[in-house]
Amino acid sequence: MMGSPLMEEEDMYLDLFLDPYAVQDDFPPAMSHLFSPRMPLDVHPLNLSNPEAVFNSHLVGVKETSSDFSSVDLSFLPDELTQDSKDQVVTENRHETEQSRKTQDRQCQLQLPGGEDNGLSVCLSPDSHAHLCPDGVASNQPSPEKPNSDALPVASIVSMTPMNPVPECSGIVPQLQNVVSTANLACKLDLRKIALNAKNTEYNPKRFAAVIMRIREPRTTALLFSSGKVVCTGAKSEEESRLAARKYARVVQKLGFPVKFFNFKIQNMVGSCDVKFPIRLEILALTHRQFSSSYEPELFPGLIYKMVRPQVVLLIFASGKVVLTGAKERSEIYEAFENMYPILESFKKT
Amino acid sequence: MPSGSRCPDCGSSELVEDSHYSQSQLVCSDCGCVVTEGVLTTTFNDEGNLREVTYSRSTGENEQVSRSQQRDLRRVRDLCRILKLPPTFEDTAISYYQRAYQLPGIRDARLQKKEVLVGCCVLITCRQHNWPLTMGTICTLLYADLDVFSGTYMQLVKLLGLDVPALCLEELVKSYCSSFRLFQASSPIPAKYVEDKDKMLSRTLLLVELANETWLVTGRHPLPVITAATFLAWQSLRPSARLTCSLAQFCKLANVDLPYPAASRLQELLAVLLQMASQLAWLRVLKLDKRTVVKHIGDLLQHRHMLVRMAFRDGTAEAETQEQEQGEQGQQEEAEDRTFNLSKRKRPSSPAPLLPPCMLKPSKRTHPTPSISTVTGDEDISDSEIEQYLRTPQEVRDFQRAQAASQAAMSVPNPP
Repeated sequence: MMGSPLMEEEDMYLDLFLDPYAVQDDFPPAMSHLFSPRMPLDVHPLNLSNPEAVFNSHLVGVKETSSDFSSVDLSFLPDELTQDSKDQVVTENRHETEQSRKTQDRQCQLQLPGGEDNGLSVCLSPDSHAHLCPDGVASNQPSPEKPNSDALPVASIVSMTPMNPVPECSGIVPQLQNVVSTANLACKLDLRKIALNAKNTEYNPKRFAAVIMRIREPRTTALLFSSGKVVCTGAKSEEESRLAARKYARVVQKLGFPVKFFNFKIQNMVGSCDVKFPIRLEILALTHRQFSSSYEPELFPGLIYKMVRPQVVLLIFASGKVVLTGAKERSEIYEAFENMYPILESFKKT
Repeated sequence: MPSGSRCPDCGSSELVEDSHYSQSQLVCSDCGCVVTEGVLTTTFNDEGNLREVTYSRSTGENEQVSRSQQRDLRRVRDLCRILKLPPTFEDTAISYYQRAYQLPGIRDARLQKKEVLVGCCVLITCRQHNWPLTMGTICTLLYADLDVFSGTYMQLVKLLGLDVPALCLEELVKSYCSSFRLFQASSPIPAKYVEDKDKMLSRTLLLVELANETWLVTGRHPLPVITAATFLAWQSLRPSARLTCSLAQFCKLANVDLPYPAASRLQELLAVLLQMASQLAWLRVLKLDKRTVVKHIGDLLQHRHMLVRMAFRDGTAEAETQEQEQGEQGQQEEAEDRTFNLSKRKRPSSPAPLLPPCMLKPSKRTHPTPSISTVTGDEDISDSEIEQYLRTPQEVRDFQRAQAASQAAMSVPNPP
């Protein structure tokens, strides 16, 4: 029952995707299929009687949480629905659900309707996937805000780039340089035995009470403590950090310890980027001294800006390079940079 | 002095104040009876002769304040006196110290930190009054490490929530220049090296202002820039006699320490001056280099505003258009360098970009654009990959043997 009408829709959506500017004319009748009661109930977990609310939630939820179905300016809908819904259906049919990293591209979809690059609009919030999942992908998650690092990336045909956020106004995306994470192996470790039986270790109990272990792929370093806790540093992304932590756990497991892998948590993320114009740090310090910025050229060449929301520390240098650290989520780094960029932009072309 | 009472024995009013082994007593001069011993109160006249004792010198403070805090408060005052600060600074610094001492983070800190805290309070006071005191000076006076000092300083500013203004460059120039011993002829300084203080000061100020405008001061320690500027100012006031003197010799003669970065600041400043000189027609023909440009610093400073505007264009706009023209060509820094080099070859007097030196120099190593990784974090981990990190039993045995051998070698006592 689900088969043929959906396949037709799928082809139609594929055409629509491939030819984005033909959307407006064709779409409205096709849209009604999605709203039709032929769709199984579980696809609309929220509210069949108010199908538009489903779409609203996707659009609104990009700015607020998905459970906020406050009224939305419906004039957005025709343009947005074309891109988003067809992408949703296409991706759902082909790929597994992607859990969100909270990204800013959602905001972009609202503000730049229609004219965007198709690749970008794939960077979707998972609430959309959840609501409009025609094939009954098992994970119906009404709470899309749950960041779950177990998710698979959307390596979709639709976009070649994985979840890159659309920079709103700066056009610059900070690159992650380091991710620090911790995990619990839930068993006592004999550090001497580990240091003896594993090649890639350093252990100097007089200096530090942990074994320093390194693996080549992903290139990371870990501190293994006798309590069974592990600190993994040096990864370039959250997934790499998780993979690396699992590899360290496997190494210890192979040495004969009954390890588990509990409480993996990202503790810190460091990103950096370049705004490509010089910045007058003394003037920036003067105008922002009350907002917790500290510029002491006698001590450090950069300006240290402690942003409150999100709680991220930015190191800003005269060459225009910015280092962001202290974030627990990737989105915090992006958000912090977007908050900072307008302030830095005022120094352009002085 | 008779205090108006009468002797209880004989009723005479002739009471004399006398001291018996330094204890004052009121004695009747007629019968010799002691009226009072140790008068506790004094008359208004007597009190008029008393002198004020400051609270810090009296014993009242000692009861409430711990010994280490007393010692540190004394140190704050001593530091203020050594630096010859105005008296109001002392009180402000003391109040900061007392406030800081209330904070649990400071009260429980080690003595080393409390010693450094003394300097931090003085520094904050000076900064707030625009008194030019560098951290280096305070650290030398306290015999403290700069990193210990910086940690305590940042912590103090954060905990007290203070708004500490930046170091005043102009005041620092004035006080630093005055410390150069070149204003009077003395034995090691030949007459041709002696310079008038005001002329040197004004020229140094202009040079430091120029350095500030051309991005040589942002992000850098201010003192080496001032050293370089002072040296150039001094040289340019009498170039014929002084060109032979090097920066190091100059500092030695002037009895001032030469900070390490001053040499590179000097080169940067000379490069800026050369750029400016290339905009003046009568200087362009002379084909100046870094030594000969010193002779014309006076002229260059006179027209500095116009020359800086002519000599340097806004670096950012130019860079962006160049990049767009060339399109994506790998590293952006390389693209910029290529365009700048091209322009330099074709038109030698074209405006150079006004950028900090760190942006002008090409990056030493190429930064590879990170490849987009498709790691999910849940991939399977093959056994072979893990086993490459483990030692085989044979290797373990060899390693243990080697470890034992090296330990035995280390623990062998020296032959007597």
